[in-house]
Amino acid sequence: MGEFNELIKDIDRVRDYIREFFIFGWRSRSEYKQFIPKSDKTYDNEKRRAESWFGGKYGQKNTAEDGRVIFSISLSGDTRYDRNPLYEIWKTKTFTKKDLSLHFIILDLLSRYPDAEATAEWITEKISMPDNYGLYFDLGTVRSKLDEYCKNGILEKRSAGKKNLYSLYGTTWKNIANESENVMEAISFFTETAHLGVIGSHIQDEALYRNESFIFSDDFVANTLDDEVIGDLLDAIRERREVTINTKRNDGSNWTIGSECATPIKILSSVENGRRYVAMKKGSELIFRELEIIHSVEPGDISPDFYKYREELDKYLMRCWDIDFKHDVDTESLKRTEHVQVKLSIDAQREMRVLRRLMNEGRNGKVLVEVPNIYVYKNELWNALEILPFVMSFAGYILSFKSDNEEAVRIFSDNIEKMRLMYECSN
Amino acid sequence: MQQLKERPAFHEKLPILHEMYGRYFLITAELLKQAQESGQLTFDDIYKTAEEMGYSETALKLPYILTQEEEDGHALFQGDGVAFKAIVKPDTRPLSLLERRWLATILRDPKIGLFMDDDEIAQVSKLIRDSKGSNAEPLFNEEDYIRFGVGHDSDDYYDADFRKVFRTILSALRGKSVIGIEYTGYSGKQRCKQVMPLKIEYSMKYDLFRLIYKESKNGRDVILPIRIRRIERASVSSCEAIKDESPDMEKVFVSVSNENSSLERAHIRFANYKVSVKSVEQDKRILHISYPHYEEDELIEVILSFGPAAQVVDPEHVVDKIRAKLSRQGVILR
Repeated sequence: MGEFNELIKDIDRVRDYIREFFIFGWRSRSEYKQFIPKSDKTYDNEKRRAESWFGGKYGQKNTAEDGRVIFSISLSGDTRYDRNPLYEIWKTKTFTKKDLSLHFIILDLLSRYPDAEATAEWITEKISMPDNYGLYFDLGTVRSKLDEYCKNGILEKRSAGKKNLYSLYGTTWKNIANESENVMEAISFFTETAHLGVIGSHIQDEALYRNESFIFSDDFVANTLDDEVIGDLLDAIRERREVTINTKRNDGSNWTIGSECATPIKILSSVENGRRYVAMKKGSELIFRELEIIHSVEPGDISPDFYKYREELDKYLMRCWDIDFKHDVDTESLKRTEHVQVKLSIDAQREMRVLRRLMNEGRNGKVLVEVPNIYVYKNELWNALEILPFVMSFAGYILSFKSDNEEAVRIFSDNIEKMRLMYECSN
Repeated sequence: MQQLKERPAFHEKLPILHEMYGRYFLITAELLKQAQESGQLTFDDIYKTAEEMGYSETALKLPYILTQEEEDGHALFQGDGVAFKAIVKPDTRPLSLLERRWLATILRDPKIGLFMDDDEIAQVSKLIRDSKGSNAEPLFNEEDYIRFGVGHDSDDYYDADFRKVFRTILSALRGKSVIGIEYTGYSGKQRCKQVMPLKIEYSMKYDLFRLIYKESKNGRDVILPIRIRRIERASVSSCEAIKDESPDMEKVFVSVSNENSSLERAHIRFANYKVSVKSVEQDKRILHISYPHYEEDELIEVILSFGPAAQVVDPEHVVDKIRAKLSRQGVILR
């Protein structure tokens, strides 16, 4: 067992733990074992790492009734955060001393000699000169660092005869900030709201720019844990490629490792519950896999029917209430839709906010005015059960709930009855 | 079918997790700046900065990497063990390809118009081209990634008046000044008042912006939200320092049972509030949620959406509100 290091080689190994600490902060060490099948030593290390990264600001220790001390990560303070605290996991890559020194030396050297014919040999020699840095690196190390930086776009390489010449990529955050007064504010905003926003946080860090203008609601900060997987899937979607996804699932007691080959069509993220899925076509079925179960993605061939699949998906989604996909869907044999009709009594003057919510959040449903202050909401869905949380949120205004899905009607009435008992309603 | 460029997918995978974006590199850049300003740094200076800016174990490691002259010695700081000089000057790192591609992606988002005009967008797009003049390729297209369940009442980001009001508020926030806002009240009456902008709040779920502001009402300061769309005109009036203030927070205790994985859903649903687990029983937890006072009605609706799986146990006024709703509901149903 090596020495403990607060830095990491790859994200995949910490994803499960950070998610658990963040969402299920109440679990004890032994309970974690059930959900993450690793040794106690691993649990201790991951906990130590999370405590180190999130420390006193976001780390919380609570004592349970049975005396257990439970570690969790929680957004702290009474104001909303100015930056997704979980982005920090992307700032923790391990490196060697040579990586660190070469990084700063190469940037410095190439900015001092912008017009030099900088080959790897020239750079290596310059670094070793006492009036420059006086450090000796072997040519292979320097060249591989230069090539790695070319790949990442920090440097550019051009050929001159038989030589490869390296130069700095010309644009920094300062250049773009000179062109636009608000660009750093825009970056701060999109860092928290755009997909793969963590990349914006890298620019903010380089500029030492902090978001002081914005706060965010209905945000799901744990989504960043899947950003690497999402990047790979989006690449595949853009190139209309099949992929093999390698998955890891937990059914509460066992872990199943699996892999599936399919064509990814879209990423779907629910603003309601924060869950994110990739919708894929596999054989004759549309399948939906939650991103958190995917731990790697391998690219395959280009899929010729990509656009056909996308049409099928769009048609299917029209009649879905939420994306909480438990089953694969055979698009050839889709069952008939189910109807939902909710009658509500809302005072349009005094309860405007409630009415607006009905109209704005009803997705593909329709709202009709029966008589003043009596509204009828109608929708047609593959599964009427999915809409129940939305309907329940209007408790207090509902006159009737009808559906051809009898189970949905029964659950709705039971829920209302149970809640009335729970809150000891007298009438 | 449109032909794809002959380009191997994934081979040019750009890492998001790379040490050049890392905290240790950030601290090193800061130390190089300090060394440039003061000529030299003591080991304690280095240690202190690493401790302040780093994780809890960073100071035990980074100062040694930066100063130790062991093996073939590749340290950036050299000295006699007490005082150290940096052998390199700090330079701004060029934007990486990954960052440029991300910028190219956000430059296509309709909300970018709130921050930048078309000329600025064109200028920035030009700056992030590669040396052969090719545009940075966005990381994805808008239709590849959809947010499911966004409300129908989003703001119109192309509306010129909306953009103007938004920018006035943004510059007032940055300049820490008071603004005058004009809007139509719910009664239809034209209103105008002086307020102190505190933050712009963006809701992912509704895709809309609200201004969180402070005003004096009956001699008392109150913090309130208003949808930016409702503001017809905004102007910066006078300069006054704004303290970073936050609204009054309220607390609610919710007991959540674990049937149908409600507990998991609740933790996800409430993740953007400050939530702590107050009591732990088998299959039942009491969540302690802090929320801004003006969001009470919305929070109650979210709690109701969990049905009988979630029950507010405290404070009494929230319990009363829910009881009133359910009592009314009972009367209606029978």
